[in-house]
Amino acid sequence: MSMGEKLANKMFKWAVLYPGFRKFVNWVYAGVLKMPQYHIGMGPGQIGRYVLLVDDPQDAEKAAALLDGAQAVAWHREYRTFTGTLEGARVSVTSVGLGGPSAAIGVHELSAIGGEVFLYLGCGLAAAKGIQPGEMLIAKGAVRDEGTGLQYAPPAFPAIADLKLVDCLRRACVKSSLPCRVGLTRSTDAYYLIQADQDGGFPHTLCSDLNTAAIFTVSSVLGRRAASLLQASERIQPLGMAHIEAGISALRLFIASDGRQKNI
Amino acid sequence: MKLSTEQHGSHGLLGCPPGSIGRYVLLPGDPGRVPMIAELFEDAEEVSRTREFCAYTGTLQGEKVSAVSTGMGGPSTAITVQELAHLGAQVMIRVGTSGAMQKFMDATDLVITWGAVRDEYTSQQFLPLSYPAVADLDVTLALSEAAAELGYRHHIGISQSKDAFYAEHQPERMPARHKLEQNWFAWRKAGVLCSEMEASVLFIIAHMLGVKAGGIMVAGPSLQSLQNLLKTAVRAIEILIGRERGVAQ
Repeated sequence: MSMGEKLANKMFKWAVLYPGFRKFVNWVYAGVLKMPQYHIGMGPGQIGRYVLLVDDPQDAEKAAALLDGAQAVAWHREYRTFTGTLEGARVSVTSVGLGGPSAAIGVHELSAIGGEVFLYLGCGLAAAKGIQPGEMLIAKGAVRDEGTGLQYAPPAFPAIADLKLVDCLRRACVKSSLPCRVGLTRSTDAYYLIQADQDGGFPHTLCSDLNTAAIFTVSSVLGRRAASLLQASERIQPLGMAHIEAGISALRLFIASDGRQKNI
Repeated sequence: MKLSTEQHGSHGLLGCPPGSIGRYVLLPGDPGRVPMIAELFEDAEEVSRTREFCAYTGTLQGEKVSAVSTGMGGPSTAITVQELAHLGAQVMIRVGTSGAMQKFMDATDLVITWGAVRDEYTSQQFLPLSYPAVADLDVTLALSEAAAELGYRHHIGISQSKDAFYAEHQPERMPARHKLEQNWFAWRKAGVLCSEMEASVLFIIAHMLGVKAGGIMVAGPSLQSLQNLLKTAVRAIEILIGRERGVAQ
């Protein structure tokens, strides 16, 4: 091993063993050197205060087309980011992959570099009786039937959305006359078990999904705002344009009423 | 409208006869605060007074509204909420005192509870712990609108609903001391605003029964703020009534 490798090896060991040293290294990397975050591949200043989250890198590109002057910023693993503007404020769209683990990493790292408001767009699977495919389901809270959020906060902690953002989502849906409901989604880790569970397993929920509970819990714990707009669908599929437009118009409403616009 | 004690059995534990409760109900914990709330209603009358439950019904803008005390803690709150829903209550708002948990809060601040930590067992007998205890959107928006309109300093966020008051206030005397202290640290670190004993039970049971619920609390034991809080809650009910009539027309 060269001297450099030896030093790097030593630092890696210390970072694993000593939380205090890890905190120091993180501060030097992110705070002083402005190095990119480990998984999303972006550093401070590369994203806006408002971030749209989607599952699929392909959907990120579709949503970016609706932002003003969107530019591709980074694409690492499942995290593909575009940054543009809406109503004069910087807005980014990032794909976070399927499931709590990757969504939590995404939200955590985006928070670390300036993301403060997260709006997730996804599919509402196995919707409750009476809900037609294509309806907009606004999650004000999520049943925490998943493991990632549990490592952020104990199970008694509620996975809930931001009040104002939920209000904006509903107003946006009403404005574009999309049928919508406000209620709970149940977030699970096992996609292929959803249909079997939904038959009576989770009463009083609108639908199931894979990401919402983790996004809500992580944002709450980190002091960020989040909400989730799901579209009732039979399987995980690419997002429809009406769905993305509803999300964008909700974000416009939120930005217009948001007093603190940083990163402009 | 007064009931004799013999009749209490036939009207459940609250002792409220059918038709005696309005569609909008304020839920304080302390029966002593019910007459205080009733003063803000028009034509308020006592409906029942038994155990820790005291109920008054009056009107606001011509709509029948009630104030019913829940007593402290989950079990008696569950009884109240279930019986009230059975009696036709559609919107229930918890009003009461709590303990502030964050440094940026003053004891006179109002806290509008949008969600609650389910640190109690009653609600877990209704829905599994994985369900979030979350308030109704319209009720919470009306509360925040009312507080802004009246100009009271308020926060919107999460409260912690616990079972054991003294396990939290004197953890050093409890066998599970370290777990209690650890939990307290976890809730504070997660940004929970205040600690009280009923909100999560109200939210979970209301969600299960399909009725609307909300909550507003004072962050400390201040009596003046309690008056402000009650005015805010009454104003929120007026906003909700107005909105409902607007939709109906």
